[in-house]
Amino acid sequence: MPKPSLALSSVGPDVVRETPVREVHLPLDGRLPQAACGDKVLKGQRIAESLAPFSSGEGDLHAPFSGEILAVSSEHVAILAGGSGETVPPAALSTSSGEALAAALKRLGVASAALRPAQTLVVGGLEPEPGVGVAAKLLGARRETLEAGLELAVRVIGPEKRRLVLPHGSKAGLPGCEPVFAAPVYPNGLGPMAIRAATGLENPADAVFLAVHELFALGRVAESGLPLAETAISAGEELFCVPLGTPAGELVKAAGLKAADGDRVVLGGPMRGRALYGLAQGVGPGDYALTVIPRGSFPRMTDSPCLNCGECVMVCPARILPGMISRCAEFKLFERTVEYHIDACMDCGLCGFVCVGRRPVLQYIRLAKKELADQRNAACETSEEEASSCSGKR
Amino acid sequence: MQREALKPLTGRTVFTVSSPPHWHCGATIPGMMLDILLALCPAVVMAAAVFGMDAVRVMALSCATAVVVEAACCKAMKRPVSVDDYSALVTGLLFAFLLPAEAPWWLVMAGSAISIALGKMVFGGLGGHPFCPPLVGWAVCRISWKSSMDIDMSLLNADLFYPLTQLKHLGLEAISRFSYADLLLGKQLGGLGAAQTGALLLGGIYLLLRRRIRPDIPLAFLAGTFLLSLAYALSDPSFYAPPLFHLMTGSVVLGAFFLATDCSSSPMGHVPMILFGLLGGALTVIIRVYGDYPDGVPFAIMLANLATPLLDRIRPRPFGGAGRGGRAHA
Repeated sequence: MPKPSLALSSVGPDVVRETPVREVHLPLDGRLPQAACGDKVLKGQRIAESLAPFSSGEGDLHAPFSGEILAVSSEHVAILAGGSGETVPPAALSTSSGEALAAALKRLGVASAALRPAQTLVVGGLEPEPGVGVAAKLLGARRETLEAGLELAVRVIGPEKRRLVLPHGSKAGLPGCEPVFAAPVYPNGLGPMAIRAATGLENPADAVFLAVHELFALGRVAESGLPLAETAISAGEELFCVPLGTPAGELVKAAGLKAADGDRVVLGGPMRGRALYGLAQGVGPGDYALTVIPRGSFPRMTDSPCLNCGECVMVCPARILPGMISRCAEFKLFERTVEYHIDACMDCGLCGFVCVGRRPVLQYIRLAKKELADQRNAACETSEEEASSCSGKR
Repeated sequence: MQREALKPLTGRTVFTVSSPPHWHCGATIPGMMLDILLALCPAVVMAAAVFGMDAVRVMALSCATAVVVEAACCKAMKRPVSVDDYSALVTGLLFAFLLPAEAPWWLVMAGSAISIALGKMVFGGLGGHPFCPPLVGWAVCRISWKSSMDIDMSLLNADLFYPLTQLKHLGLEAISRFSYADLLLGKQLGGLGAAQTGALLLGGIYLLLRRRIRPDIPLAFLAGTFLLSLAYALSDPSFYAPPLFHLMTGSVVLGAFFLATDCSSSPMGHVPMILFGLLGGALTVIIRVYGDYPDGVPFAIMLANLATPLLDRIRPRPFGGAGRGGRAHA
């Protein structure tokens, strides 16, 4: 297979397709289930509660339609559609603002680290990853929903400036948002890069980033007043709006893709997505793409030692030494990765993309980040016991 | 090829599960090494054409020794044998390129074995070596068996001359016998492959076009050689050789495209790479002008290799400033 292009482009017409499903598998991702097998649930009823702090960007999980709970495991909750079209009473979102509104939104299933007061709101109109077509199609076909989501976001964030980062030549727009144009090349669609394109600053404290697909989720909640029930997800050349928990297999079928033995079915884009182990696994909130990668498309990952060729260093948008960090993580020297500025990493995966040794560079970096976070939490808990106060964040 | 996954009896589809990124640019170590070998092919052909079977003998012996020694080292280190990545072949061939075509068999084998064992494997194999491996073998041989490594030894067998010793011992008039076209076509003595300036240039351009190497180091190396020799030539044109003569003789082109660009022993980042190249190029001219060695390239690159850890410290600020890491270690 030739070298894949990192250009961010949406192919096909700006259409959002709906795919009805009868059975959904809602991924819990650590949330606490609040329903038991056999329960009858209404559309919008809370199925699982998020225990993560607000900054994690994880909200509660709700039934996307009325029906019966088929199964509850540590991984997922399965719901079979049935019963009336009755819903839970819609929430009144029109009166609140600021932190109260953010907390209400978390309970409605839309949480984001960006939903906090800030001076600048940057809306990401570039595709998040290559091979993904979600932003342009939503901007083209679901403008009203995006406007409703923007209005809600503005009420939480209270920004003085709004910017919309768009690919060169795009004619899309959102009310009150000054367009900023950027080259449609990965990783320019990622939050830190888009904020820099819009403000000229790197990681400014007073700017927040919301991708268009996140605005869409907010917009759906704003329009219905009901908890988040669907996600916009690109598969193949099409964009779908599907109920949360839609099995990956249904999307593969709807998009006309083929997933055979040895292929990778990835929830998310090709650079950052999560490989699935089965087609029954459902999509969660925030999943914006489904990618199928045929077996044998790329050289296999190896445990080859780092060649020190510096390719990862040259492509790293965070200007750090991914190879060096991966070597530290390889030998469990996690503290040392801090000296190599692992905190600047924006998780783009370009290091693993270019690695000649085909090392799992991004995985090593994620491992180091996880270990460091665990260490910080442990240290935080110890000091909490000593001083019964904890200032650190998870 | 991918190994067959175990199929469950239920007939369920089994997917590949791995960490992102799921795409890859396609470049692999064997692929890179094969491309380097391909880029060296014109020089191999030219060396065989100019020096005959002597050169073929040296290249074959050196390559074979390198592969066998690397396999033996892997066995001794209880590691999987890594010769299938072709890097030993590249090291063996590059070492042969630095030898005179008349080199005795024991010298070829000793040098090739030292390149692999002392230049690469003691540091843990590919990626760990602080010096370009063939140069380690060359340096040990050059210092230990000076007369056998003498390029002028080939004078007996060929009607060619080694331009750099001519310049060193006989002065500027002696090099008027060399035309630039002759130098490009390899009608000069030198390391059997290193002397094939034009063929190596072709190979270097191929590597650049294939993006196997970045242009920073080769161009900076050539620029360093050119600029410093130009400065000498301008200061006294009747005593110092013109810059193009320096570029086309000895192992400057081989060094610029194939030796200095060695992954592990060269720095990363544009500024460090350019400084590294300039340093290597400038040291080449300094050694040629003041040193005892007619061709300064191998030692110049090794000295530049020494500076690599220092040059690697030249880093831009990470995205968003020094961040937590900087504060924690302030």
